[in-house]
Amino acid sequence: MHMNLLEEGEVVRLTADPITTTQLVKYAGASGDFNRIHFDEPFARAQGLKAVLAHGMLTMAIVGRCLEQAVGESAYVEEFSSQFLAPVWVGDVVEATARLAERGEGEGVLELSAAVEDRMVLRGRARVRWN
Amino acid sequence: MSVDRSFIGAAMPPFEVEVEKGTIRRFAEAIGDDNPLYHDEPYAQSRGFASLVAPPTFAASFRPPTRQPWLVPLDEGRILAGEQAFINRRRLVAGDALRCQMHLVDITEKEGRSGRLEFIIQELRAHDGAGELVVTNRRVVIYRAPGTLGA
Repeated sequence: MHMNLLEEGEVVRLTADPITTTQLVKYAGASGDFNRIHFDEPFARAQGLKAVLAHGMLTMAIVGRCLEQAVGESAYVEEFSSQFLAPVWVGDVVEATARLAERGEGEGVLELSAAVEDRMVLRGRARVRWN
Repeated sequence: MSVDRSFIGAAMPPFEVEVEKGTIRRFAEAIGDDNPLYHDEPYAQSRGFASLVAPPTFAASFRPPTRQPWLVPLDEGRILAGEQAFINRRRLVAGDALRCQMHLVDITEKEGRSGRLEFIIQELRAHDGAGELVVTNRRVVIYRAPGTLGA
């Protein structure tokens, strides 16, 4: 998908596979974030959580995939920020959206979000540039 | 136990990160991203990159060899991700040798619905061999009071 096809206000959606504990272990290894609330269920429950919690950064990475699909590989992401609004649990299906909010000469601003069913879990923003 | 304010303005010792093809591929696999720029070096080169490109959140994996001293006394089960921003000067590619340093920018707090929340504002700044700041990874870590969240 290329940017030239994306109009201002247009939305791109990506639905990720359900989060698994295996994926969280892989992400822990790949990112170096070994907080046990992300893979050790008895530990997570002892912390007052109802289950194992996905890394917020994994949710952001899923939104990043949606962002890439929206802007195309010739785009360069100058700034990418996220606020984590609610937990994502094992088994959750994250749906990411990227909406082109502003488009200028060779650059654009996208509004990003992620939801699990009707629960908003992440809100974000990106500034991109096309060469 | 709350976060020790005397760490505001502190920086950890710098450390080196070599961006490697294997770590890029494993990171991309973990996030479920099959973009060939992250997996297929000849393809990435055909698109004008020196080698595999790193995904946009890859700098999340740049971690100091020891835990941040301001986080050490905290109860890890109460640490949550609050906000995160990556500010990039260029795309990271395999072969980049970076000098990274973790800074504690500020600590703030507010009353949440079920107790006090503290916000630990950290920046990891990565410079390349030419001394250019290539990526800033700004992270706000939330330290929740015991018994909050969980639903």
